[in-house]
Amino acid sequence: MPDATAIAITRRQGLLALALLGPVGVLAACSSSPDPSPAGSSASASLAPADASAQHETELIALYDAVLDAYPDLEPETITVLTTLRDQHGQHRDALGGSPDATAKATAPENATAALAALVSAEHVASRERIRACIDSPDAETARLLALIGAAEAAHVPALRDLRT
Amino acid sequence: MNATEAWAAVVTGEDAAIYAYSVAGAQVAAGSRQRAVAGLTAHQSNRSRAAALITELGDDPPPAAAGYVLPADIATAKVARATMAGVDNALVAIYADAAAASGADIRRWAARTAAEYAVRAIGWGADPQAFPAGPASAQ
Repeated sequence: MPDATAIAITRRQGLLALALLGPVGVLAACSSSPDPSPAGSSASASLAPADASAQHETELIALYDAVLDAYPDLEPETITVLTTLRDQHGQHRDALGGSPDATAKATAPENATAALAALVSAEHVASRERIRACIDSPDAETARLLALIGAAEAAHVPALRDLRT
Repeated sequence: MNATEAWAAVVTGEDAAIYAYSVAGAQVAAGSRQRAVAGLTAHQSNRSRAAALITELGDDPPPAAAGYVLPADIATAKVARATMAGVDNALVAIYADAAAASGADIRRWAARTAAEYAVRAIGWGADPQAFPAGPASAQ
């Protein structure tokens, strides 16, 4: 018979270790992963996946902004969710080393239903491209960050699905 | 973190998830039972695959713990759902570590599994997280 105390400790280490995994490790990844490239023309190939992904995040933010601007009369809960998801893309952009001052053009679809569908579609594409960039990344920390962002964006799809206009 | 360590963390996390799903999955309403069974099956299958990877790397997979501490009120459907959301989101971060520690083919699987689990957590009622990492925003 295993010692009961030993089992209790093992149990405690088990789910608690998993459940208490806080955002600390993620924040560490965010602060270290963009690895700003040195000044000059030495823009390394290893940063390319992060750069392209950061630009794509800026485009997603522009699309959310265009939808929020065009349809201020959406259900309040819908606006709250859209604002949250938009802000998460801002965190993705920042973590990937993108500038908050970067801009992109986006046009809201012609009605609110089409606008929500366009966001779902954009999140699908974003998740797929982040995972592709993760696979292609020669840098492990960037790969880790892109895997997390790809997962977050995959989760945006069901978060958008049940929203009412 | 090297590949063996990263995949050992996956196996340990999957063992905890299998335990959590086995207990919590029985507490949800009938309409969610299919989701719980699908999640349990995914965790079991991915645990096996991760353990096989460690063996290929020349090491032994970590053993499962005898049991795990679950919330005292796990018998309520709400807590059961939040528990499954929490383990799924925690595994997202663990698979992202494993993706980073692996070559392209394995990394593809790890990144796709991370995305699958993040989606699963939303299905259990979790709020979306910018960097999925655990139970913090599970409702």
